[in-house]
Amino acid sequence: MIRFVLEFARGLAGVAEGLARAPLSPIFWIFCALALGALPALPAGAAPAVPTVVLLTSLQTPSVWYRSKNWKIGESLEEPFRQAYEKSGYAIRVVHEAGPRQLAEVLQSPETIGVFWVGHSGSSSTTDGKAARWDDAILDIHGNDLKEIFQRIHPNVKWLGVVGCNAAPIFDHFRAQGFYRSNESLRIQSFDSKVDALGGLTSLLNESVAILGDPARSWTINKGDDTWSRYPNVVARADLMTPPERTDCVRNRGIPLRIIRETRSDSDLVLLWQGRFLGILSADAPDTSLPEVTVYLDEAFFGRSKLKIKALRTHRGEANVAMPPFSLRFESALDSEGWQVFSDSRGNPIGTWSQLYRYTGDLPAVPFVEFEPFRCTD
Amino acid sequence: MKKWTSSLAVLTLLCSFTLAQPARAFVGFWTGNIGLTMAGLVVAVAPMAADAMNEQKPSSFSLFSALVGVVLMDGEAGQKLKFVTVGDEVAANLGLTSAEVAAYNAETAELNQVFEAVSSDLDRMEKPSVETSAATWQQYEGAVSADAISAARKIATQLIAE
Repeated sequence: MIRFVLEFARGLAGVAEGLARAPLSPIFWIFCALALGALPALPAGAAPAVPTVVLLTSLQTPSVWYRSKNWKIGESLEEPFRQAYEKSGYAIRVVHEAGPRQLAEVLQSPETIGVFWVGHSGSSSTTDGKAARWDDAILDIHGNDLKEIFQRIHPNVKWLGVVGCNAAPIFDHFRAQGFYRSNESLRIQSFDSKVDALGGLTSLLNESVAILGDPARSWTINKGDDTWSRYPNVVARADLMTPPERTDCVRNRGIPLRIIRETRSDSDLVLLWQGRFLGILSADAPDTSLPEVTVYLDEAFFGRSKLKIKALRTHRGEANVAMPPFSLRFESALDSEGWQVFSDSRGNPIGTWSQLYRYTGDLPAVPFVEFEPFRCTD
Repeated sequence: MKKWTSSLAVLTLLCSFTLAQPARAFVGFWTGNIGLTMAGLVVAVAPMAADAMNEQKPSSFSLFSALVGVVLMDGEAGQKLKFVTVGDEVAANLGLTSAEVAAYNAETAELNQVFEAVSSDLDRMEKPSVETSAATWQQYEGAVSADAISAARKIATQLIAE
């Protein structure tokens, strides 16, 4: 033992002597500086983002007699997702009991490359030719209809799988309306019939391999085999691991509209413009400032006769208890006083879980400005 | 055996009709009271029809089912009934005047807002009825143009008749 210590000390001394005799090469000193952290190894924020595949679930856990009371349905759905993507090379993320804000953040993030959504949904085609119909809906765990949020998807997203009954027609309708004109390489897969949660997710995981997986190294569940309890295994495509260039950033033209919440609340507000997703006005705000958001009225959908914005609460409060109205202020190139809330004869806003704001002012020749509807990868 | 127990655990049909917890108020207002809401719109101009409607349909759910021909499970529907803009063909089938069509198409957002308000008002009542629905609609009279309301009533009447 003593001999070992002496030999080790002798070795260290030899290294020190060698360093002292080392030529004063700039390369040597740069190496030392880097090792000591005197110089940043890379400019701040330049670390390449890893493309992320996200699972969002938004389901009430059903009562299953042989399951513990603490069991959550999300756990059973998370397992196949992790088996498929945890070792793929992509980053993965799981969000349970997802709501509007989480869904919007994932769909609009430049790091997101694949999304799986699991939640109740429904669409109706039985009222064609009618003037009243059942509205399509993609619901979260609290009953909020999130379908409009799916209209705005970052161009970096290559795969969207939606596990919900009869949700496919909703996306066909959105595509026909032009909402995915910036998503040329996006594959949206859903169902046009009833579907169960686990079976649907398994099916979509399998189909996602063709979009997100390296065909030579990924494998899918083969039909006909007794592989029901197994899940696909995805290896990331090399070409998808590289973020797109900044020049690919989408730019549209529109009118900026700053919406300020004049009263604090515990509920986010989803903002819709004639059935189109505008943004989310958060319930929170830093410090003592009021919550606000800046949205854009896209030139492509701008019509001088239809300026109506609907603000929907995402938190419904107690059952059978009327919720107090909220107050919004609008600031833009348009007349701020021209925005009026749809009210009854006593001036009370009409609507329990939403309020409708209509622009009744003059419409001057407002210039459209260029904006980026999606955050681009830096 | 493993695969069947696993599937049973998560065999949750992801239809908007199968929420796990029944009879949540914010869902309930879109189910049982939808029929009453629509009926109240018709009765507001034809109050004598209220008795007939009350006799025909003892429960709001069966009234609703008869109105739209759909079977819903109690407190479990997440989809909303809404008015949509009409084209020439649908307008002609409904017997709408040009003024009614123009007003209705311009004010469908407002009509749906009132529909939501009436439905939620009914949901907070202990015993909503066609009469209370009609009275609630009248509270919002003036918020929407007369032509738009007239068109909405014709739409509701046809819906009930089917």
